[in-house]
Amino acid sequence: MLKRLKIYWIVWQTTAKYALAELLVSRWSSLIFFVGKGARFAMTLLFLLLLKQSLAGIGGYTTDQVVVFFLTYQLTDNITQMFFRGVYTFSWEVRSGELDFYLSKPLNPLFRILTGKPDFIDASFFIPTTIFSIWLISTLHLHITSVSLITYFFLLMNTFLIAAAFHIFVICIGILTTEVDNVIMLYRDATALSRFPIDVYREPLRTILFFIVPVGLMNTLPAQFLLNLKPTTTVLLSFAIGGGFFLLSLWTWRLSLRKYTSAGG
Amino acid sequence: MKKYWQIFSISWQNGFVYPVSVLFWRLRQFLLTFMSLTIWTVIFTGHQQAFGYTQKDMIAYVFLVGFLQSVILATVLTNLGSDIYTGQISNTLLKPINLFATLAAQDIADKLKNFGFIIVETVILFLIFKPSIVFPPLTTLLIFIFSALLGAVLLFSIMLLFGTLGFWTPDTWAPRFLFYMFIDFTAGKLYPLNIFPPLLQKILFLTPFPYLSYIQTQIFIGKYTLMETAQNIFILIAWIVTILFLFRFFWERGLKEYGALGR
Amino acid sequence: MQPIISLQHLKKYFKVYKKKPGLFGSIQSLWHREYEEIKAVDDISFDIHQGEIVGFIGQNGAGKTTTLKMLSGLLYPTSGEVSVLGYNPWDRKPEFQKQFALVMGQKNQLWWDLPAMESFLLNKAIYEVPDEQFHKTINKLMDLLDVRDIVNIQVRKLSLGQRMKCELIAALLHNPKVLFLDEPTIGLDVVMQKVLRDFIKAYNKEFGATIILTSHYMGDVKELCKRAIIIDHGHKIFDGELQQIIDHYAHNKILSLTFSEEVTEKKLEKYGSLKEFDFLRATLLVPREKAAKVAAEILSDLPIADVNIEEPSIEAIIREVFESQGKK
Repeated sequence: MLKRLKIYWIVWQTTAKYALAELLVSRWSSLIFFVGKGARFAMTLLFLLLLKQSLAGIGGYTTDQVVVFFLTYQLTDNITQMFFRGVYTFSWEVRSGELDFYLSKPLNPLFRILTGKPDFIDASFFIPTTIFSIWLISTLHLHITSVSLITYFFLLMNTFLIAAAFHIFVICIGILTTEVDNVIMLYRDATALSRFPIDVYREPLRTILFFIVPVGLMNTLPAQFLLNLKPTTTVLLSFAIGGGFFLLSLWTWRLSLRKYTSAGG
Repeated sequence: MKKYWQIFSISWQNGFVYPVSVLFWRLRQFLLTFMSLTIWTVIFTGHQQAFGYTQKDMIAYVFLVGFLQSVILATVLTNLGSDIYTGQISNTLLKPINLFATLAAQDIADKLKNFGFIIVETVILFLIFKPSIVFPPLTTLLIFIFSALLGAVLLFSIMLLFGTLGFWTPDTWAPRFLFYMFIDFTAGKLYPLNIFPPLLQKILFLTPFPYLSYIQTQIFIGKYTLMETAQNIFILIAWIVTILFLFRFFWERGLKEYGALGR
Repeated sequence: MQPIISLQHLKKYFKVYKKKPGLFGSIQSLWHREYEEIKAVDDISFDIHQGEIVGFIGQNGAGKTTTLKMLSGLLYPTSGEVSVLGYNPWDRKPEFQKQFALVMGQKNQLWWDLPAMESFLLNKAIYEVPDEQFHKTINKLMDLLDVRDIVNIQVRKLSLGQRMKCELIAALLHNPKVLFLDEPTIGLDVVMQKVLRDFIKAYNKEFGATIILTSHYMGDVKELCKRAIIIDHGHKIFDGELQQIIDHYAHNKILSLTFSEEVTEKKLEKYGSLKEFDFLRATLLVPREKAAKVAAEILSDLPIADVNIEEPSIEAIIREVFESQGKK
């Protein structure tokens, strides 16, 4: 068991090293990406700040609380992108037949596809933004307790479980239709909806985004618990849905493999 | 010019080969506009005004921008950089056809396709959000359309310029990524440019970004005097000329050094 | 007669970045990068006249494709002069472009997701081919290459051979007078290679087209080209009739012998230089003029089960050409 884990660690390490080397070679691009992500983060915060100056709140939440929702999204989005970067090159891997190599080796292909090529730009972006976020939160008027903080991190595990499930679904669609790029961006756009608390959206969208396409469970719910606000649902149910979603994605993966037709000669 | 009509026709056909791809793309655009409209509707419950906008105006803005982005920002030139780097443009260069006219014809086909979709999406959003959009008088409307067309030309020029990067590097996505980030908050779907503090606005107006969708929306809503409208359109044209000039310079240089890579 | 194609002291140099391997090298590349100047084409001159089919022979990276690209107007020469059909290719005048075609074995010009016929119609419009001429040419080409039933299928669904045939039609439907073929048979099976060769021969005969062909397959060159130009590291090291190379460098003929009883090496060495020796088989190199005589002697002196007299392969000959260049 330990040996297997060691192998996975080595594989991840190797792909990470290559990713880092590539990043250093295209140094200017990397810098530009960093600046771009920074600009995006800064501007959204600026928007929220301007909102705060102009208004008291949005949909029953104070703007301070809305900032926390946004920062939660930022956190989970950043971490997810850091580690699940492999999906972004997946369409090429299917079309070129590289996928065949993954499927025929004694290593879980999902691991390879999901975590291949970790993103170091995101990693280097993560540290300053997290530090900044923590500082920012400390300046706001919020009601955070140690219990709510622990619940928050506990729920974040569910977040990553759901994120993994989403990515696996995207991979399945990629295997069946080679249509990956638009789908993963659709996922990104859907999760971007949770920049703002999902329960400001109208029905039926609210229910859909919490329970069917559980973006709300990823970011809104943990933040609700953190801020000691009325949560949309319980922790238990959240994990149940998250776990179920994940199992569904694995089942779909197995199904897709059966339908897989290798790239032509 | 029969050959460019042919290019248009074949591009049009090609755009529909993967209908699922197109649908996903439109779904994403729809979602973004939807989110923006929802957020603003929520923000305005209980408030009459925000940032100097009434709810009516803000909703109108988002609708307009969604519409404009689809016709101005949609482009096929995203592949120009890599086509140059891999040598794919060789095929067009050695034929008796103008590469830029070809790209323009392809772009027009793409925008027209998006135009069709955005009409449908706008109708759906209309039914959901029931905004009250006041159409401006005919002259203003015509000026609006004219400025929108110029906006499309400006975007086309900028994309051409980005394309020339392909002569020197395969990494053409990074600068475009930065560009799109800036578009997001200067001509973006979430909020209009003038919620920003005046100093920031002044700085942004030194760049071409506001001229891609923002000033067009303001012309439509009637926020500019005739003088201001003329001024803005003039600057817009100046930007187009400047960028095309830069493009020409890099294109000539790049072509001379062109390795026509790959077999 | 004026040559159709003329190159005078043509040069093309490229700058390429060098990167040190490994993670440390990547970090180093953050502040220091080395350039290398590659002399892809280093002073090449030749003339080609109308109707000739000329083979460009050379190893990978020798400068063949670069030369063709300069002839097509895609690359700007570092120095030297190029003239094709009286035009400077770099000017890219439409009148010039309508008269030539460049076919690159691995570069597609057909629209991937649409039927080949759509691409044909597009080229018809681009090259301004009149309707009647178009129909005549395309019918002839489609029949010659036997593709009538596949031109309305999406290109991505075709096999490599079928695609290659359609690429050729797309390139030739404007009846070019000059043809540049860069590795046209690469990746094709033996049958397809023959089909393409016959087609090129027929096209040359029918339209009097001037053709430059680069290929790795000596079979292509042998069958199609009377004249060969050998390029090595950007230099022209041979320009003349293919037969000349064979005569000049192939001093020997190859005798392949199969014995019915074992024979010693020593015995065989009397007759010629022994290249291979293996139990009941041997390969002997014998000077051309004496080959027949020596074969007769061996047949009478030794216990022979089978004998074969062969020309050395063109590949072997060319290899020898390069090797002798290296020694110079």
